[in-house]
Amino acid sequence: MGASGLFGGLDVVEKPAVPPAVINEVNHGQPWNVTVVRARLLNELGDLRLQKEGDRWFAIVAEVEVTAPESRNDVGDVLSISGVEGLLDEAPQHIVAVRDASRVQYLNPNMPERIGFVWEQSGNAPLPTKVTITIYEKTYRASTLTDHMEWLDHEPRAQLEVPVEDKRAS
Amino acid sequence: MTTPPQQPVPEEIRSHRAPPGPVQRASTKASVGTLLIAALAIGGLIASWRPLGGGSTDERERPFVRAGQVGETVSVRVFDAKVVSVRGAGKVRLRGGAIDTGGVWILVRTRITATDEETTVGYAALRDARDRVFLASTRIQQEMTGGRSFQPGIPVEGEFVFEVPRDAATNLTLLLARQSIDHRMDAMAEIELSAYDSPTIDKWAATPDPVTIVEPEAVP
Repeated sequence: MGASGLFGGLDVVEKPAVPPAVINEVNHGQPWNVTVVRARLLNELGDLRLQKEGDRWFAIVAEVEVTAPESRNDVGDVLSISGVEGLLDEAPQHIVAVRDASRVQYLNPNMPERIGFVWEQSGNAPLPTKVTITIYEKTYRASTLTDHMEWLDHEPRAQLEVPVEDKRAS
Repeated sequence: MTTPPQQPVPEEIRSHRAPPGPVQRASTKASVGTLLIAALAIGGLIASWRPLGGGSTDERERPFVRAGQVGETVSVRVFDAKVVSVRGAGKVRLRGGAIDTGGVWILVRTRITATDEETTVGYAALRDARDRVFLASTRIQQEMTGGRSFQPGIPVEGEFVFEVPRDAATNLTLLLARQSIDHRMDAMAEIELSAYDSPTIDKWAATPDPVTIVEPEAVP
């Protein structure tokens, strides 16, 4: 560092920008393909119960297809969101299958499933009109710690901005 | 009494060589530095050299496979497994409503007999011809895997239930093991199921009436 300081120091390196994705188009990758379908605000959502009266549900619907060769239980790692204030938790409180509202634990290879990623949003928070969704990837490689092949390096793969539909019953 | 006169202690002679000069001292330090750098380089090479690297640890610690066919008893140390029959469906039911699938349900009726002590079947999966592995479905309550325990010497028959894509269902192998996650160097049953043609799979998937999953029962 001292030596480099004599010549002006180290250059600042910007983190590479995350490539864009498009709503309703498949974003291909490992260990899953992801198609973001919609973002919605809801008052009711099947059997799910809000923690606080007056709060609302914020839901992202995405179709996820496992491209890895084995069933996976890390569907919570598929995406994250930003730009929505007042969420009770950073991670989705519920991950449910759209077709029967059952909780998703495992996804099987090459069996696409439409999934709802659901957060509870405080009733006092401003209503979001758009949300930024980041889709993640993982890499199958030998762990430097154990030498076992594992899915590691959970990194952003694509990003998109999606309008939020307000579907709350009046 | 007289005491002998004390002799003066001779000065200790450490070396007959002349003390090192500044050039010799610098040379010694340079040699030590060179040896240190060489040791670090060799250590680095050894640390980065992996005779079994690149994920081959998985191969070295793979499960001990006991293979078999439908109707054969396969022993995996803590339990014996025997596939009795296989059927498919588009919808299944177990005490609740019918549950559909985007592929096809595969129900594998299996007889499990614990050998020496109470045990569980923590891992049940199907592997297809493309080496894709499908775990027993979590969309329904599985009665043969997970929490159910088997008592030694009491055979129990029931169905493991899987959800697979139609193209995977023609050639499947049932995998069973005691541990749910860690199968390293543990016994695993691999029972090859009968092959079915695509029209049969399509017929199973298109059947409108749900199939009721057989609950486990002790058998003679």
